[in-house]
Amino acid sequence: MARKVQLQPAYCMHARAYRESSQIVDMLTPGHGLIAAVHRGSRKQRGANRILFTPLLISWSGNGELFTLTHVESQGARHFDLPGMSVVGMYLNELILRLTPKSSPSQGIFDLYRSVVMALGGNEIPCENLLRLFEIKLLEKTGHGLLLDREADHETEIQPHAVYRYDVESGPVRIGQSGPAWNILQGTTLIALQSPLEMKHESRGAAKKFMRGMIDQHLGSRPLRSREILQFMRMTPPD
Amino acid sequence: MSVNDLGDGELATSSLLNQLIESLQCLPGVGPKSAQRMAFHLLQRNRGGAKSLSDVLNRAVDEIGHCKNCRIFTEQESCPICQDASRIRTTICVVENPADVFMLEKSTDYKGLYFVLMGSLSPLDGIGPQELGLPILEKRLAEEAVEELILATNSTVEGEVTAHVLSEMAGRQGIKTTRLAQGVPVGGELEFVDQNTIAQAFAGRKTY
Repeated sequence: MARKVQLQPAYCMHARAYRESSQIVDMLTPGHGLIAAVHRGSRKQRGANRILFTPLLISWSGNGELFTLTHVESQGARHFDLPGMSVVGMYLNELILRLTPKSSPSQGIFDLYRSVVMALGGNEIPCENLLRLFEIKLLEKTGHGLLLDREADHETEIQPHAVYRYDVESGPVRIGQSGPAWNILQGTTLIALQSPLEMKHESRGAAKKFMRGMIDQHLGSRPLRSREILQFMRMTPPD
Repeated sequence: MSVNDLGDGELATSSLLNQLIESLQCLPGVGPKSAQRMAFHLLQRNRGGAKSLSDVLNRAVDEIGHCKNCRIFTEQESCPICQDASRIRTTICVVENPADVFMLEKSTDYKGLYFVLMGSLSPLDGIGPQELGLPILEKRLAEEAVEELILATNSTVEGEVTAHVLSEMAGRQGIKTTRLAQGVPVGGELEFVDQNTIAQAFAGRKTY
């Protein structure tokens, strides 16, 4: 018998056109993790595309991997309307879809996503700091947590002026001199990453480079496409 | 032998017919049943039409490419709109699909040029700035005397993001951007318009 799930909180991660007027949507839910479902006739409904970055309540039914959405309602206003923010939101969604296993329930990931999109709309915390927080916490909740306050031996404290090489498997190892690789970084950067929301402007560049390299380690060979858009937007004008 | 087996066996007598039915299903909105009807119609009643359809389809697929300036479909290097000397060259209207150009040409008196993106930015579908030809447009903005870029992308999240990226790109070169107005549909009643649209329409009201 088809399973029916009623009125679950959810966020839409992605919607793509399916057949004439439907969409296939990927939804993040706390109780059922990431689910994919067909949203019948949704492309004909006005404003159907506004479900991104909006807190939703959804019901679905079905068996197997692709469910059928039977009900979608918004539980509140969309968290942000600025298109510039939507690009950042798409980056969050892409990270969730690439790093989270399908159908594995996680209240933690749902709460993290909700708090970060709400804060992005609130505009009080610098966007870069929110992104670093999201990346660190998402890695932690998907089983790739970082060691930021101790060296790889789990005892020696991180020194601000020392140079470290971050080993993906074991953690930071103190080394003699700095280098260009993504995983060679100053102690100050590791310390700044311990509380990303308070990160000062001067640490942001190095923190971003490190987190970017770290995420790439877990993504495999396919690059993140939303990053390309962010990079294109920051390009310098042609001479 | 069941009735179903008989039916399949009958169709299988012509594998070419089966192939035709399957191929017709690549058209939007055409399922197995309509495809079968189309195939029988073409073979039974309109072989001439079928012949000319297949010839034109073949030629169209081989010869129609994209205009080097605006990416609209054309069999020439540059499309008739881009070649038309009477069009205003200081304005470029950016749209998502070739169908949008036809709509704008039919319903407005716009006399400028176009740029067709062939989609909108959607990272999760693998569509980034390169796929939309944004570097080509950026080069055009740098080399031609463009004064205004009209952002006529859809009012979806992806369309808005695309418009935003385009406006940043034009801004870097000091070019003015304008966005299509959003509001109450012609002939519509306020009561039935959704809240966001009313808000947009109210904010964008103009002198009457």
